[in-house]
Amino acid sequence: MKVEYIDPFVQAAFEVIAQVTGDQPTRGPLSLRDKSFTTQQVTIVVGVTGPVEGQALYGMSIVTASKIATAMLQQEVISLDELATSAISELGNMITAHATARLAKSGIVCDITPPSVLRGMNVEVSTFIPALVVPVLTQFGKMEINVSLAEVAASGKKAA
Amino acid sequence: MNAAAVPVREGGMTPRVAPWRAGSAGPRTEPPGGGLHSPRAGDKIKVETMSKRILLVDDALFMRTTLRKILEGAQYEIAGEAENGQDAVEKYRSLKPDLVLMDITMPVMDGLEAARTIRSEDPNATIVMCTALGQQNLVVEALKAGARDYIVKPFEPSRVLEGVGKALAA
Repeated sequence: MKVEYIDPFVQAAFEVIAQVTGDQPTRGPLSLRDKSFTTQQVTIVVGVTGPVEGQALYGMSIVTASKIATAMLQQEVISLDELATSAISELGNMITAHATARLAKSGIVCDITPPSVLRGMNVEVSTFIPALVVPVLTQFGKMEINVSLAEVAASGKKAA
Repeated sequence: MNAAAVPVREGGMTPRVAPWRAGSAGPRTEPPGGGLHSPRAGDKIKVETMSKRILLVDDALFMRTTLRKILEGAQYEIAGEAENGQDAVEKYRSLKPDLVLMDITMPVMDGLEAARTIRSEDPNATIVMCTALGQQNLVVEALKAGARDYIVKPFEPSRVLEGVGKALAA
């Protein structure tokens, strides 16, 4: 996977988190993760389709998710109920959508799928190629952005 | 509809610090939305809202709740909610709202297809897209599908009221 694919996601995360929570996040070091890995307590999964395909996954602890949901809803979130989970899910949706808008400016026009939220520490996620990971550090805690995108060749085969 | 002109938001400066953030920790910016809040008294919006009925279409409960609060705060009536495009088409037929506020990325049927279907059945349907996808090609596609405006998430409440107000006035 090309390293330049992850930057639009990090920039989009900074932009969207600032807009919906007022926080100014910072980024941690880039790393590579295996094709199959165990999710964090809360993981938002959004699919990307088009000339590059794959997934963007946003992982965080329940505490971080609750704090972000509290900021988005402007009401105390004690447990991740349906509304709070929807807020977190929408955060992943907005970040991915803004990232694809940035990719589109580079000539890579992609679509995204509706987000889904995974709960639980022992959920294993498989991606087609290893994911690039950037931790985004917020006042609410750490959110890990995992991006696994591959170019789709004319034959329809994905190229790592 | 028996609509009367009600200038609900006019004049004044938009506060630099949004009320829903006052007193919280961290740097302050004016967030364009996503947060659950009502339009502020200082928002420069003039809309006709009385008796206007709106169908909210978004697969995210959070977004439907946020939009409902913004619109009800401006005296609009929420005619109903739909979680996907197919649901939106069916609810449009039964509820006959004055305006549809429509997401694009949804399961079952996306918002663009739903907009085309609704407009094919009712060429006078007023539809405003409200989506996180801001690519130019999608904006063009939405306008071709009959959308009167295109609001990108996250949004400021005033942007929602502006888009809805102008679409209803057109």
